[in-house]
Amino acid sequence: MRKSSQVLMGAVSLVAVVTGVQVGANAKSANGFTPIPTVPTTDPTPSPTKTPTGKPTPTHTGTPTPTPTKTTPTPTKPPTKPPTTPPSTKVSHTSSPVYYRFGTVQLTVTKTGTKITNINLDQAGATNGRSAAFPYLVSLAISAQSGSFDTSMMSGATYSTDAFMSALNDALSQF
Amino acid sequence: MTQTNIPTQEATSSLTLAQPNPRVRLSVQTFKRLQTKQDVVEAIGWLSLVWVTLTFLVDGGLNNLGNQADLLNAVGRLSALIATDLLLIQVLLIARVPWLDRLYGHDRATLTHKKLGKPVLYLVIAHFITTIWSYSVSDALNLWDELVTLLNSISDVIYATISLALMILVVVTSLNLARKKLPYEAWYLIHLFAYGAVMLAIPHQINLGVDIAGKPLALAFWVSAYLFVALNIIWFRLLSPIFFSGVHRLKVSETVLESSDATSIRISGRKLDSFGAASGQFFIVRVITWKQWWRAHPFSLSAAPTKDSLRFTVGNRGDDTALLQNIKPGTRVILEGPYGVFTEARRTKEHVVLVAAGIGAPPIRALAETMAARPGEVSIIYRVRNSNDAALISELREIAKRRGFYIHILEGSRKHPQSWFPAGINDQFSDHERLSSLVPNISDADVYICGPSAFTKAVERSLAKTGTPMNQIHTEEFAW
Repeated sequence: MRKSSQVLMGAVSLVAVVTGVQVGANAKSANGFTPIPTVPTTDPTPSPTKTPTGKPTPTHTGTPTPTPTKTTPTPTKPPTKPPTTPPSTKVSHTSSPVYYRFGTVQLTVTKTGTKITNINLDQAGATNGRSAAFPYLVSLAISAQSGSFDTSMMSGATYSTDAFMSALNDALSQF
Repeated sequence: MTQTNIPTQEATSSLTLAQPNPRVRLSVQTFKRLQTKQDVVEAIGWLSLVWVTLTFLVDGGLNNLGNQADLLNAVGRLSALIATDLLLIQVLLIARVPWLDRLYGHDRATLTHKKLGKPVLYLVIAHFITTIWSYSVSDALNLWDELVTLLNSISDVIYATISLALMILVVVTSLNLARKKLPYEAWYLIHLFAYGAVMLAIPHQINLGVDIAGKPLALAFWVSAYLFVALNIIWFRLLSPIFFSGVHRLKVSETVLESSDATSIRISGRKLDSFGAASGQFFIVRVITWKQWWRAHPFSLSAAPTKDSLRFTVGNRGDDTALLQNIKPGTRVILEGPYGVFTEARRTKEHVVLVAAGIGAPPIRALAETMAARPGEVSIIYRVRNSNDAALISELREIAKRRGFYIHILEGSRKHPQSWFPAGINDQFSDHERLSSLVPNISDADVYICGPSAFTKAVERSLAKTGTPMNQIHTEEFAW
């Protein structure tokens, strides 16, 4: 590479790294270590389901966690016009946070009709090792369509699996 | 002994030569354009590294580094991202894709591929250790128990661990020490495991990778990077050679023993000019017989390519290049190529010096045949142990005679290990002085060198002392 190109690349890299560090530092507050209390909502229009993030939210042991408010699902916005074919309504319920050995698990289950369509990990705070298990557990739960399914493949992540299951069942019990 | 410009009687007067090229020079504009293209390719490679680092940083990768487990985890993530990116670049460099070959030449690409081998492995090992260590800190387990737990619980981790083991095997067998002891075939077969290593690592990246799983943008980047490399390999190394070899009906038409250690193989076919091959280039030749099909050989053209035939001359170095002598005419072959930038297209000056040693003669012979030149503008230097047993020597003499080129046959054993000149009458002079006396205007000539790498380096050292600029020196190393 020519000198001039090297200088250009160096400058671009430097800007990228500095920007990355700054944006990353803000990501901390945006992601948040304190759980954001989620209000169950009823969404009349089907929206693309949110994929669970693969990155575990780092947890701080001893962080006081506000209890999320549980309310009966009330549509926040009434539909402006009635849909021609009534789509199955989406209902979401959030579990209470489950504290366990490696962190906190809290999740939001979205059902479209009677079908579990999405499980969002609001908190998946297994200390590093176990967080890998959560995306699997989410897909297992969605394919099993219930709060009980075979978790034998997760044998190395017993605590996290147990925490996930109790959070899942807590959320499902609210439907 | 130095014989200068003595046409010999043995020269074959029946030799048919191709028409020399029309005037070819690498103009300043073409050179600049080439440099720009190289810069663009290198910049893309570099920016891919910047990009993966950027995604890591933007994701808050540097937060919480006070915590030992998170610090280790961050190191594990970043090393994995950079290692994977470099690994893909490394695979692409060895894929012999024509667009990279035209810019850098196969030898430079191969050398960079080799140089990346160890750093990539170190990064992957760093990723392996720090990630497991980080998990073990969180789980209050020792490293081994943590690894066992992960292996037991997540099958993707098993594949990734196998991938690492394969990578270590591939790198260890490629160390110079091991390369000397291993037969080429064994090394080659083990090296194919590298593809397995790359693929086995994919599931854990996609499913577990903190920087990929659940991040559509990152996933799109990595999927397209993998696809780009894979398609380049599949098309250029697999489908295109098979397809074109069929279209051109490539077959071995004859084999000729050139010297005690070199054999020529002529391959005939239809419309071979559409390959666009030039003197000085090489092909990867795959002879379709039961014993040979799985292993390809890099062969240099030893004569200017024509419409209906390509001639290669091969040194009998390897155990099975010897077997090639016995190929029956009519045997099918598959060609990959042409490769290499050791061609007249890189020429910048009126005068040209062609330097060959031993089995470096074939491309030099082909270049001499087509080099655009008036009499006296080209000097050929051919370093041989014994002129009675040197491949293509009579053809080179014949070309020199007909075209009016100078030819210097340097024959005999070296005067000392650092010298590339034979011991003889001018021993009091150093190599560069002797080179200048053979070709007085060498600093104003393009010099094409082909030979073993020690020889090439020795000639380059002499050229530096004669003041020949680097961009006038063209080399083709057998980087295998």
